[in-house]
Amino acid sequence: MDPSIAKRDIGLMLFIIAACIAVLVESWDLPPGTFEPLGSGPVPQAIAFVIIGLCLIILLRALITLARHAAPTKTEEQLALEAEAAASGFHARPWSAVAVLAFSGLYVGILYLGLFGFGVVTTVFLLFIILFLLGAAPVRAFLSLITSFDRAHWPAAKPAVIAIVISVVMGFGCEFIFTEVFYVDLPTG
Amino acid sequence: MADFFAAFSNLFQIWPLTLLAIGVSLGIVVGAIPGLTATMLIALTLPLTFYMESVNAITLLVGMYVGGISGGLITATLLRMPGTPASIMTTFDGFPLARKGQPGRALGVGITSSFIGGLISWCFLAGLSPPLAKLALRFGPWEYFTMVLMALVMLASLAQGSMIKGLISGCLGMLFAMPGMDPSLGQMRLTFGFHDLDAGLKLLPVLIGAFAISQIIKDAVEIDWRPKMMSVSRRGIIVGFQDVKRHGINMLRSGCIGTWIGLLPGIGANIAAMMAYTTTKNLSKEPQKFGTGHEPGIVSAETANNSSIGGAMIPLITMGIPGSVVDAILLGALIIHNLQPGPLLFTTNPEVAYGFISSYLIANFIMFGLMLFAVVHIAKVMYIPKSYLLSAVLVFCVIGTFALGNRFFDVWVMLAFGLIGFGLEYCKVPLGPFVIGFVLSPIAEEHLRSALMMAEGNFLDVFNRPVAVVFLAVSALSLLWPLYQERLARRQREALAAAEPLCQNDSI
Repeated sequence: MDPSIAKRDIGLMLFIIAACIAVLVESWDLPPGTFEPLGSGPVPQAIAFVIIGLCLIILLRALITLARHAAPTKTEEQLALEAEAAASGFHARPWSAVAVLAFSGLYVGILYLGLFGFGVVTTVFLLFIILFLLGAAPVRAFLSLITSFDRAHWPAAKPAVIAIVISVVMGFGCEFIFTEVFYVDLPTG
Repeated sequence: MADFFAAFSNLFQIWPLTLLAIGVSLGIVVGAIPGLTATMLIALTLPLTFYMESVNAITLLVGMYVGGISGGLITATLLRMPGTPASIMTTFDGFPLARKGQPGRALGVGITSSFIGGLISWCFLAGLSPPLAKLALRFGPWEYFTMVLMALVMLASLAQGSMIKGLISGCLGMLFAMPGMDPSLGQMRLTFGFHDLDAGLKLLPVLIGAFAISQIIKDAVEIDWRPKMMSVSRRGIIVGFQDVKRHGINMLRSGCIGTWIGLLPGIGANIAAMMAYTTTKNLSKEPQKFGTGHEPGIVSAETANNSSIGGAMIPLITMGIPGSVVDAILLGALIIHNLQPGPLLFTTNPEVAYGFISSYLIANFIMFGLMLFAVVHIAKVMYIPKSYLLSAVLVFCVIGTFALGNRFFDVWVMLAFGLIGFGLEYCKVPLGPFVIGFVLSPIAEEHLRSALMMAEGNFLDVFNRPVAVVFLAVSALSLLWPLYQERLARRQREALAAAEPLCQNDSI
């Protein structure tokens, strides 16, 4: 086992064990069945015990792996992938995942609070998230385009313009379709 | 037989046929975009089907299923990047053949094989489903409970990666299905004081979260990745009858393997393609050519992955046991439309049961036509920047989940399961068993409790039911088989390690 995976395994398994203990505590006081032999508690309890047992096996394996390998070793496949990525100039953006989740949470939160209507919130959310994922260059080029009216900026600014069009069409288009055609009660603000 | 023909004639009306064509087209497009999968598309479309008749909803979803699995071959062939996990094996020979200057030929062989694989498994689906459903009607609660147990164990043990992680994933899915009102006693359990949990966790937020949101999070990390353009022409895309005849035995064998693997509960098209590819390679007189653009490699992988769809539908419509993750979503679709999945479906709603069978056949024909004539244009969608796609999908996820019950709680659940799904995949815990465990555990619990009521609490009563004993034995074998294989592999490694110094001494 790869030591880096072993470390991840330890974290995940400890988390799962804690969740299972919470399940056991919550289900412990459930009354036994009156009309049938099992009752409501034993099935979730049995599953939680099985999960804890399996997690302990993975934990043990991960600990043994970490004890045997001091430094993480990379497989041939990993090395090949890294070489390919380096050759293509591609870099992973782990923080994008966190940002996407945070943006999504904020989007749902604002919708939940009902501060603005669905169309407005969705348009703003889409614009933010698309521009964030596109990176800074198109935004800078777009700002240059609207301030200098220089056509030379158009190719670089095009993705930002597409982002604006998509955001508006999707934001208000979805609001119209889902409220008028599918009769979904989207938040109105 | 009358129901069978009625289902076919219903399908040839304008609306169902249009839905099927839309489903297949969308499936192909989504399958062709790396990072978007058929599972994601079907989970997202499910809320839109609330407003449709159940047969039409199934028709649309089956079309997406067939299109999604088939579309994966485009990126697998042109980019060496499987559009769906089912196309992993296609990359081995499809991409090298395309790089040799024959992308049209590589796509043509793949498309024709997919079509023939679909036809082979349709024969099994149409031939086996009605008698199997009749047989399943004789099953009692013990049989159902042990069958679900077998499905979960097989899924976990045959899933790629660690068997224990597969089992953990399946059990976690089962545990997440437990909160809410206990259906047998009406007792609230595992709600942790949240009244929103009284009705339990709904299937759709869990599915959309686990498959769509987690995928979006994953794709956001690799957002800067751009596929290299490859020019595609239609030259060589039409595969002649002589070619089909030449690959006939391979197609038939891979089709049967795919159908069989699909039949096994919970195992998807990727395993089917892998097994068919390995078998073809092992039986070939030129195994060294595999991986260099050898046509039989593409034929076996594509025939098997498409035929697994039909195979996986057999346990779904006859017993209500999903043959793959997508089938678990289809099972959810049946439940959402107030239909009882299982053997009674043929009696209570024959139009739906036969609707599955007929739409699967017609979807294959539509897929074949669309892929042959439009693959060059469809291939261009894989170059659409993901920044636009992912954001749009995210909004659809929110709308789809909210539309389920106009509750924000479901949307929060979806986001939470997106995080859980991402976390599990990050730690190499497969998501397939999780979803299937979530879908199957209420069925398993219900049948276990019924069986125990009938047996007055005696667990040993299961041994009085021969079919249930067979299912238990298969479960035990499925658990032990990977352990035996691991031990065998370890012995071989040790033997090789012991032989190496001897060889070195000989050479000295």
